[in-house]
Amino acid sequence: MKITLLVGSICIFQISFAQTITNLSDADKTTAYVQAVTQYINTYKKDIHKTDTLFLEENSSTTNSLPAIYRSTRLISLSKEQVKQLLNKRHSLNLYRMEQVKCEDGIFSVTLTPLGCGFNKARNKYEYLYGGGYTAIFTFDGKKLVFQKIEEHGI
Amino acid sequence: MIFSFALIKGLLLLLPFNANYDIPGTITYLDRNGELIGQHSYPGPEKTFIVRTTCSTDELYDTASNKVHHKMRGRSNPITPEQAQKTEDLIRSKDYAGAMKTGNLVQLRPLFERKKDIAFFSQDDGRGEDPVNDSREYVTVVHRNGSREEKKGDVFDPSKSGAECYVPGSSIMYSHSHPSRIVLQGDVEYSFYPQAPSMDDINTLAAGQIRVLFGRGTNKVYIYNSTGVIAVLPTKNYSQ
Repeated sequence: MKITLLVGSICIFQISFAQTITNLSDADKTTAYVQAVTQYINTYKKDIHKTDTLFLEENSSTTNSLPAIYRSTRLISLSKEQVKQLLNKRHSLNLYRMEQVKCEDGIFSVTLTPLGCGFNKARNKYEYLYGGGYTAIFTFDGKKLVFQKIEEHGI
Repeated sequence: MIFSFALIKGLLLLLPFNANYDIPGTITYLDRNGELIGQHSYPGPEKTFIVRTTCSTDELYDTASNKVHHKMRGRSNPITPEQAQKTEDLIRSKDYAGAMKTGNLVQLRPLFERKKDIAFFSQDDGRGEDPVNDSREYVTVVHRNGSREEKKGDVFDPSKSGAECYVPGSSIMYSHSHPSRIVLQGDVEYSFYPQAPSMDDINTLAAGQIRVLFGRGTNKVYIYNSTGVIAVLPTKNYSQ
């Protein structure tokens, strides 16, 4: 009787584990971050022949694994100090913040948030303007992450 | 029968939505900045018109520091200062029909609705300091059956993400606000952008639809349609 119960418990545990994955390996997380950016570029940067730069807010857990260039878009990771230095040379820039991968009901998502950055001389403050973002949605097919779509959200 | 008719009419007069309909009303005219420039009596419900804005997209969407190229940057659909001046001159000379013919006047929502909207949206006091009341969108909805609904969106931090409020598909009219919250982290100020209608706000409208947005951070009311912002005025002038 005890053996039957034990075997039954193991079976139930294995079935439930196979059905819902709530955490990803580091390799899968890297895939999610890379795909969030590349799928964003695929979706929103139609003119692939035009050289462009996408600035990302430096974050060791999300941006370290990104390629230096994808199609014709350079991906540059900037620290807070580098953003400030750049704003001494240019009037404003769009800085993309990449949030850590989230899981809800077996759906994985990575959100990219563009922040409009500038320097307000009168107030001696840097302005970061938030107006919405993009969320890349993934499912897990048992072996790998599968990109589904990008959802837009904004105020 | 006569008694019943009189009773029904009497009851209708007691309803707030119909209170002005059987008594002489006024038509009020505001200039492009929302200042009162004309008023005359009129045998019908109150109406208020404002001269279309002359503000460019840059004037409405750039901030003091920032030539913003943000995905949510909306657009203005202004008239020229000369067109606005001509329309305002016609109103000041009491040629109201002439002013109307210019096509440069935008009708505001009924006064009782504007007053209710101001009271509701002012829960965000525009100072940007309240982490709850200044950090969410507010929406007022008029449904197809005439009922009015007031909704509060979830609270969000502009240094993180969020600030959206769902508008039911059954609505015939809605107004909403953009939050004023400012979060200071060291020498970086995070805030919600834009305060004027976002590109999403504008692009979701069909031709002919007009909507109202309260930019609580700028303390202005923006009237917009699918072409962009068509009128702007200070919040305090919206209830004139």
